[in-house]
Amino acid sequence: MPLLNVENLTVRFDTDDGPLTAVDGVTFCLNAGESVGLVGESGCGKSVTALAIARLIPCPPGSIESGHVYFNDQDLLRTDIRTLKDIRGNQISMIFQEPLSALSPLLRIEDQMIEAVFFHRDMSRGDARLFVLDWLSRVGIPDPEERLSAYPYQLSGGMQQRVMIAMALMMSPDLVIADEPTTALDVTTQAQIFALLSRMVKKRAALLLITHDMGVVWETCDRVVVMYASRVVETGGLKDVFFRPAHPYTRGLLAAIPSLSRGKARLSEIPGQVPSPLAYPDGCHFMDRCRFAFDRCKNEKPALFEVGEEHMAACFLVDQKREKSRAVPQGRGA
Amino acid sequence: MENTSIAPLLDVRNLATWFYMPKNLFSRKNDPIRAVDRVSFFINQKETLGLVGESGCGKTTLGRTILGLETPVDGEIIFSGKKIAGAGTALKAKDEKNLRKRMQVVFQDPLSSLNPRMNVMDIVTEGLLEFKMIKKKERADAARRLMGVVGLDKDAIYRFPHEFSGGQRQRINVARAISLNPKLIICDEAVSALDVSVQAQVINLFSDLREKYGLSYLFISHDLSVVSNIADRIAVMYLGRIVEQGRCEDVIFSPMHPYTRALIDAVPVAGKEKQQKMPLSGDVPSPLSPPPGCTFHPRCPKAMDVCRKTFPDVVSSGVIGEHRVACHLY
Repeated sequence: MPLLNVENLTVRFDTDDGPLTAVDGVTFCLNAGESVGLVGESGCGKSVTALAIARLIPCPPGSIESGHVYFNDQDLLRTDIRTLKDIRGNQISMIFQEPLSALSPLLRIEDQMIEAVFFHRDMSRGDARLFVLDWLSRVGIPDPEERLSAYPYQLSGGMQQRVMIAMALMMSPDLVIADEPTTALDVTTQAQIFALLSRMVKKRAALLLITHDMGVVWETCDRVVVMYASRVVETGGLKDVFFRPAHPYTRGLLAAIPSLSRGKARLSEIPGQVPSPLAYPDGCHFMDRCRFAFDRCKNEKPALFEVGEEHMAACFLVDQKREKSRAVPQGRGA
Repeated sequence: MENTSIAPLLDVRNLATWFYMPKNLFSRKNDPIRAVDRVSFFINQKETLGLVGESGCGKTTLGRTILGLETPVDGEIIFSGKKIAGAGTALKAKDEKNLRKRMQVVFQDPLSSLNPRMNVMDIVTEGLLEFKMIKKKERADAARRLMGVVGLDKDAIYRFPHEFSGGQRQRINVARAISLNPKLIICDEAVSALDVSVQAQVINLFSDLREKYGLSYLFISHDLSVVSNIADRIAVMYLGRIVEQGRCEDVIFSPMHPYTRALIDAVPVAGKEKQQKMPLSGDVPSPLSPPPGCTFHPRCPKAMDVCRKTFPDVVSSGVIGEHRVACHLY
């Protein structure tokens, strides 16, 4: 029984230019203690997926059209708001991209951390302070006593993100969702934060890491879910997806990454550009940029076809290759 | 150096650009922020120098100083054999304007560096008209030619910047930069705002244009993988100083400075055998109060006593061919 099971999730937004589908039938799952990377380029719907899991999509303009998000067998999309509030921050916690905008600028570190403790636990103020202090030192903040009385702007980006990580972990959640936790940080600070995430989070909870960086996924995760233009295009174990990518987009993406070891070889390009979410093609969303596109891609939405064990790709080529293997219904993920 | 007889296109010697905080009631002393401090490097004809460093290290200020957008307090800049900045240089307005023709820039944010009220034709031909290189009635043709060069639709010249995607906008910026046939283009984080698949397209465009027009680039980026893909030589900057520079392969595969090593180590590489990493501790110190001695010593795993006292000299340090490092270890 997976810890988190996202089934056929579809999220729409009403915009001035018309309705757009940000997340279209996304299906994947995450087992207890596992780290899964949700990768894709900007606008592919990965962050919206994360927000929808915690039901943080602003409605309106957004609306969750269909689907289920089972967390410990409970459908988060259909629970009442009180149960949900008890789950958020307690069993599921989030680390956001911009620590400075995720932390309240008006509260000292101590006050905002203790506020979260009081929300979920019965504790005296003194105990809560010690509890919070302990967590600050666990995430490697020097002089935690002093930092307690600091305002977020007085900390560096790396320190702010450490505070976020401490807040995300202190209620011992089962699942941590980290949405591009290091994008705003420098490379050396990024390495520090990922070392911390690997050391602290992976021991205690399952991790859903949302990122655009394939290198980061490789170093942090066990499995990967690749998204393109609102849909899941490929999912599988790390080595399967990195060494035997089945979807043409995944292949193109991996080949386009400049790498230190590659030297000055010309980068391979994916021609064209991501289609506008207001005008996705009818069939496969990658069709216009795909070298292998054929008639079937034009009209039919590709389901996730099995490539190998726990490795699936939403591409008719995979289906063609294995004529006999039947399409796995979108309902059940890897 | 391969071509010792040919003078480099750009020669920067001991350049320093400092900023002074405005004085107020509470600040007693007025120490400068040494954004760029005693920096020396050169770029040969048709060569690409990659300048890497983390945010706040002074790489953008260095680029702006070369462009003449900041005034250095010390040192000199020699471009095409002519001194363009430094003590005793007072460029005439006409010379300064002509300099623009030979040195161009592409910025990070492709949208904010394009005027939203001008259509693409006006944007890419403004320079050509200003320098009277074309007549007004020729501008549509010139714009179409430039659009073709950077791989954009030639019929899109009457459209406005907001109608293009991020990658296309950056191509417009590139078209504007190459319109005057410059010798040197300074790319300041020019591909950092782009997604991977589009980033590869723009990096390849830069490489193609270099071959086609014999351009030189100063390619400023925080991303070592991007730089290693396009640069012939790499300079690594930390807190206003260049700590290491050399041929791309030398710097990437046999880095000397502990900071360069840490930078390379910190880049996650997909598909590479996972290894235990030793991330650098601490943060980059504030440039307002840099540590004494070598500015890297508080984070350096190999710091010695001497590092806390004096900044290592580049010249007196180990020099293997073109590979220079400012570190007391050598």
